[in-house]
Amino acid sequence: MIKVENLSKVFQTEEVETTALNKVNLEIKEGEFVAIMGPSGCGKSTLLNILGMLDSPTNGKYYFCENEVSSLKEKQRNTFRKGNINFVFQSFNLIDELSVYKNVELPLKYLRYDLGKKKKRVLEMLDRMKIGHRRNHYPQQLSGGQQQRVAIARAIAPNPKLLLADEPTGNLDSKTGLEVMNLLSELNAEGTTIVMVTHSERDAEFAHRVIRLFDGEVTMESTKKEFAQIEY
Amino acid sequence: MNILTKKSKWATINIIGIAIAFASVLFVSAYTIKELSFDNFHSKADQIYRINIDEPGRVGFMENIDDVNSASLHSYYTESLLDNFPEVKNMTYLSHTFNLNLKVNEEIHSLENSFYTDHTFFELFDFKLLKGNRSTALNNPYEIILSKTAAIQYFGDIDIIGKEVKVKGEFDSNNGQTFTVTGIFDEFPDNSHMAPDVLLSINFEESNNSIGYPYTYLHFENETNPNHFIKSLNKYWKKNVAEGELAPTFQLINIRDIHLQSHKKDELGTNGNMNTLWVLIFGAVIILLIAMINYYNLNSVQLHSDLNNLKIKIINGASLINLSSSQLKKSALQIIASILIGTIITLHFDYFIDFQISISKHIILFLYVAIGFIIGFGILGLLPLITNNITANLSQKKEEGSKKFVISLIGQFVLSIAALTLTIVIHKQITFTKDFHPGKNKETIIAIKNFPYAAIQNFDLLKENVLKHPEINYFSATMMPPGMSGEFEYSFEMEGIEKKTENRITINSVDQDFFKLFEIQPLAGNLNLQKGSNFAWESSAIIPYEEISNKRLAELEPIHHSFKEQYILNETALKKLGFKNPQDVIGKQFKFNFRASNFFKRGEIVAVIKDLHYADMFSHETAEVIGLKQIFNGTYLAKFNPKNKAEALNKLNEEWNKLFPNYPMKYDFLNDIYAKLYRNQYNEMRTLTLFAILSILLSIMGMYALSSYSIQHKTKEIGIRKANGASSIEIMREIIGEYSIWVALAFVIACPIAYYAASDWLESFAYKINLSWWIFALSGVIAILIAIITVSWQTWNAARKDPVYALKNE
Repeated sequence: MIKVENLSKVFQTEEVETTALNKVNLEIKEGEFVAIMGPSGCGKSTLLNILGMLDSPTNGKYYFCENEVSSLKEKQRNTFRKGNINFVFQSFNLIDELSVYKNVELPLKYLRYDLGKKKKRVLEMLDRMKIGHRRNHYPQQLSGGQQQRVAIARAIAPNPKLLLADEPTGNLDSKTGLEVMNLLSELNAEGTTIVMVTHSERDAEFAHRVIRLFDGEVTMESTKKEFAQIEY
Repeated sequence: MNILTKKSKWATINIIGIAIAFASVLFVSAYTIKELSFDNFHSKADQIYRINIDEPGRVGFMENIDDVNSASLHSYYTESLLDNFPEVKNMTYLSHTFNLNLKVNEEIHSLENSFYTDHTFFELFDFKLLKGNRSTALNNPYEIILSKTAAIQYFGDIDIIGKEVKVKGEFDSNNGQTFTVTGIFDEFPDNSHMAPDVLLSINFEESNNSIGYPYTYLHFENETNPNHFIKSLNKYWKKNVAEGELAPTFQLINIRDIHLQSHKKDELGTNGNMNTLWVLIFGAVIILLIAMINYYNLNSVQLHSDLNNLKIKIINGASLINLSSSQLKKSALQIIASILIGTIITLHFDYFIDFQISISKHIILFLYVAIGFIIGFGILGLLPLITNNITANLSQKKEEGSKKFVISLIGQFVLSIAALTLTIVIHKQITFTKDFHPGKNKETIIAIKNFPYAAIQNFDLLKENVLKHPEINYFSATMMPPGMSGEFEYSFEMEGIEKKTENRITINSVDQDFFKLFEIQPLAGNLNLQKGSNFAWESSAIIPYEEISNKRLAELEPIHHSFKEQYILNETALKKLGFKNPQDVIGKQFKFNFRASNFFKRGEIVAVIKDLHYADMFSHETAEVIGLKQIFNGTYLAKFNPKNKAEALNKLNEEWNKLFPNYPMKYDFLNDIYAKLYRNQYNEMRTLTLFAILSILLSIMGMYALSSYSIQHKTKEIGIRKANGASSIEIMREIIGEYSIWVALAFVIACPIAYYAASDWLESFAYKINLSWWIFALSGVIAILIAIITVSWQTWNAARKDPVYALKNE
């Protein structure tokens, strides 16, 4: 599903040039659950943003479903992203001025779902995330765990092929974090490909494969089994 | 750097807004004070009233003619007031001197702005006499006093007390009368409703105790209630009219109210208008409110943007007083800068309205308004700090978006849309006035007024000479100058209509080419008129003593035997006479019951025309019967070939000067005359246009600032939306749609307000435009377009940013 060849990303300001990713190569198959780990500033989120087509690489190739997308313009990237890729963020990124229902409806609105289908899908997602009773509430009225469940409901509402999660449990207590990870596992089991950036070893254990980044380079790839055997 | 740029952007918006509001408030206050101050410099102003006829009557000497509802009235009605009404303490009059010439050192000057009066003038009014004694000047007949300017113009000096001048009327056969200069008065103040150049005392014996139709001013005893007086006066006349006569009713107007509230045809000067004043005040209040809303909003926005810094200051010991004083300093600087810029703007407002503000003359007002602005806007700048109570609530979060400013934003647009709609209505009505009056290419038609009697005598010769020049297409004449309708209604006799003295119709008179000049086609009959009576015949026929008149007319018969009287009716007259079909009156016999019975002979109605709309559009067309009487034609009209306009005017002037060398031709172009009629409305249009533009400009600035604040706070939301599949266009559409809905809501609220204001403004016109739906739609569309343009650029920039950048934004 995803193939990345010699992918680099350089951030340039007037004084400093920072290489966030340096010739990264990796491949992710459909249905996989991959965790990306590494210390702060190693380029995890940058890689995730490029995979999610929110950002474009400085160099290298990125194939999404066999289409080369690294050189696409913003408008074209948006077309590819729409309905195929969605995100779960550490800080939930819900829109405060919209109700829970409206937040979940958002991606369906841009996909121009018709009214009945849209309503059915939103309610289905809210029920699935056990948040249906809160559908008329606003994000500030919910706990962190509930907000993340809304964010996941929104992310999976259009039934994306790829779900990108950036520290999805980073702002949650361990119990709620576990619930969120179980949800992601369920989704993966149902066929959604998931790429997750995390600091948490426990969360990484949910993944089929773990990719370690250091200073913008892939230093190690391990399967679930190998990862479990690594001593820290 | 970014913060500094943003702060200076907001400070600039604040300064421009307050400067515009300051300029508008200062200018409108100065103008309003001047308009309200008319004639209040007289120490007896409270007790001085002008008396006018309210409902015209018909008394004694005027069997066949009605009184005229004008600012002046026949002295017959007022000569016994002092004897019969003890509450009238004193009385004075001003009576126009028509066609008087002043001969000083062999030079003849035509007196235009001169009046007969007497010593009572200075007893009532406080005008300053520079030379002479105010209690004796004009005490005796044949005394003359002049304004300083007139004295310098005629004598080259103001030390002329005791000098003698010859005053001769156009109609006088003698050499005129010697008058002695007994005083020089200072120019009347700008805020006086009258400003004569020359005042003369009359000889009552010579004028048979009549002073014609003067403007009459009454000075009442202190405790007099003017309403009671008018009631008793009206009762008195009702009781004292003979059978078959009609008692007039009177009205009083305090001299201080004349300028703004009296709009008679023959006012002594160009009066102001309450409507103009309201339009100006309305405009200035709108601008002030919008500027205040902007200032409050921008200070709130800045407070929210600066919340973290403020919290740090509070944590480090700053009190609300410390924060307020630094806010006050910032406000004071901005307000003072605004006042300086506003003052410069004010000095240029005279381009839009005929009023010049001068700082030295209006220094007190300037200080009041400046202090008001410093205090008012100073407090307004502090309000966000105080109402947010941040020292007590340090944990409050930054407010997202600009929802709390929506109401004020809508309020601003309501005011702007209302002002814009009213401006469009006024523009449309003014445009309507241009095509309403007769005459195509009005800039090629001139009207000549105030000419000597000799010009009436020699009209035929003048016309013959003038038309020799091919540059002049038509030369004709009529009774009234453009913009005015005939004033005199007479009883008449008409074939098929029962004769009743109370049936009156207005007399008008034209020369035979009048309708050709204005390219007017008849509704029935034909307008190929024969030449009317000539001057020699008319001057004999107008003698009221029938015996003399008949004798003179008999002498003229051999040279005048072909003359037939012709009458033309306008459509309103046709209806008044009870006819529907214009054809039905053609050929019918008609005759006016004029004082001299020979003057308007029995004659045929030869044509019916559409209403001319020759007079202003403030009153409905009068029912007119038009005859051809040269002696009544006090206005000449000439139509030039548009290609040789300047040349035509030169030729006409040459011909005029050949015949009347002592009387320079006084003329105005028709377009200017009609524009002058609507001077107040033009002023209103210009100022309201200015205020509408300024209020829209201020609303745009307010919306720009708020939307930039709001979009800055929406950056993250934009990122989230994009991550969820929104395109830049969709983001644009959503944000612009949100602003458009607010403006649309403002439009809905503004419509009834604008409708009410526009209907009220149009009220003074007898003929007015329809308030079509498109006028409202147009202002709505303009407002929405402005809103879209204002927010588009910023929204586009925000919507195009990479979602990664947007998502990182907190």
